Amino acid sequence: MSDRSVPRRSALEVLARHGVDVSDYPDGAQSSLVKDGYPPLVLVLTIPDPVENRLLQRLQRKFDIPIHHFYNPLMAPRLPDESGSVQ
Amino acid sequence: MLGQGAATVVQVSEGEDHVVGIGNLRVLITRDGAAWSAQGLEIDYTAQGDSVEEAKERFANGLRATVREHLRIVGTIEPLLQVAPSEFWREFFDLAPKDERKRFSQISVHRIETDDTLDSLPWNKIEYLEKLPAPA
Repeated sequence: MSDRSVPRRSALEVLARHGVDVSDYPDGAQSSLVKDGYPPLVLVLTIPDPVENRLLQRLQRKFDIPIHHFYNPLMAPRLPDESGSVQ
Repeated sequence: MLGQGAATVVQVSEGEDHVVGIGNLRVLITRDGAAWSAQGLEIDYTAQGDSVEEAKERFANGLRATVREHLRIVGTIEPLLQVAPSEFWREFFDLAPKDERKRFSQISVHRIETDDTLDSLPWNKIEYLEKLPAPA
């Protein structure tokens, strides 16, 4: 993994925590990324592991979300199914 | 030679049937960390693969699927029509003449009322520009 790459799992979690709906595309090899808006932001692609710099840049440009390798889920926005209470 | 003609995109829709043609799209192939990246220039779409061939295949398949999802969700491919940032164009124009420069064209037919995507028309005319690592 290069300095500018991010594990697939982290990239997907960052996207999900910023409101991007991530689902498997019917072909089984690709993922569908959709963020509500006008118009909705739509992208279908194979998300490899790790995600290298150029693809990360593209995801950031598309969804305007910073994704980097020091992602910390504790500091990320909550997922829709997470409660707001602090344990 | 840089190929002939400008990049073009055509969408023709009638009811649930859509034909989308993309012509003369330039795609920059570069090394990216341990992988290979395929970056569209006239359409800002990126794919990553472990090999040049895999990056090309994922670019073609992913762009086609993205076109289909735009038709299904938005009804038009217009939001997809954004050019790549200037840094990629600079990279393209800096390519030495010896580098391979190709172009990419594809036509796809989508029927949105069912899950069937009619892939019979050719999607094999994407043309790529490969930026190969400099010799050691």
